Amino acid sequence: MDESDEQALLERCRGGQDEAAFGELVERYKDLVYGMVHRLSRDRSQVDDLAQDVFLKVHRGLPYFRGEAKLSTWIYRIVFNVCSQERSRTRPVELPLDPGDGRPPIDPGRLDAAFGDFELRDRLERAMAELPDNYRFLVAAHYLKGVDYKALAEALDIPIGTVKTHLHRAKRLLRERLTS
Amino acid sequence: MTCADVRDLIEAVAAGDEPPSPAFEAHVGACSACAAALEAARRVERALAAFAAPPAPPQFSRNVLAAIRRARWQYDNRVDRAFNLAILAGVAIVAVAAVSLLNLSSVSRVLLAGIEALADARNQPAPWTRDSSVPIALTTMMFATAFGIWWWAERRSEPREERAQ
Repeated sequence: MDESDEQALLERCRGGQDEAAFGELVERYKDLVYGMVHRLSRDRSQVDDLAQDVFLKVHRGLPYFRGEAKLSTWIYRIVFNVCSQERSRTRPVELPLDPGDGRPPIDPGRLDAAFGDFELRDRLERAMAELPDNYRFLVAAHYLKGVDYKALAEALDIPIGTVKTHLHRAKRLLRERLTS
Repeated sequence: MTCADVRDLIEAVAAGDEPPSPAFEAHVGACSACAAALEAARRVERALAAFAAPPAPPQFSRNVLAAIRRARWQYDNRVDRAFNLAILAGVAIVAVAAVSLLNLSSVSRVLLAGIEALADARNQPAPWTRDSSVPIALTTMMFATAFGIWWWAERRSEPREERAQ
């Protein structure tokens, strides 16, 4: 969908009466929103409700969306806010990096390829759950959905250089947690 | 280049955001700890890139639209309830005002009777005559205004499509 199509869709949605138009918008962004919420939320049983909540907020906010940023950027921001609120409401789920079953810390550089990747992803997910909210959002959005640095900078209202620095710090934290 | 300098750049190099400088490569070639850290960073980078996000469930869009309809219905209900309460409060105020006016009219009748009695005693005509039409007219006007406002508000709350017809 190019920019003019998106603009036309937005205009149809803004009226509030065109349910089909909003349905199109949901179809377009549902996988992106759902995937990000899945990675960012603490409680996986809440993913459906949180993703739905994102779209309810989009629907309520559309009449006030001035179009200064891209629609996707605005939606990323809403995802970030909804998930941050959920994380502040709920207690962290205990996902210890060391499961306590006697397995040694892993060395991501020395794992057997097939089993190692699976093991690494499993522990990486646990490590991600412990990252600060903004780092977690950057990692989830950038790696999950290929959101580029510019869009992330606009969504979080920070310079692109800061986005890169934060992403590098987040990955360093992940690496250190996996190898410590 | 020290180990600390290299460690600061490892994630950027592993992500391809920074090209490795000759000094960086020389250090990594000579330092096994930094080489292992770089390899670990590359594995983390690959694992993150391979992370698959689950797609939204098939009925997700339908559920979102149903939730929006539900939210709108709840909002309309709240507005209706607030409107009805406002009308009820308005009618109550008008009723209280009407009763007060009617009471005032009986009080004023007593006062007028007193004035007439005084005027009779002096054999002069009373300056006012007994007339209860003023409070009754005021009460009628208040009721008319209240009903006028109610009728206007009712018309405004009708859906646009219905009004357009």
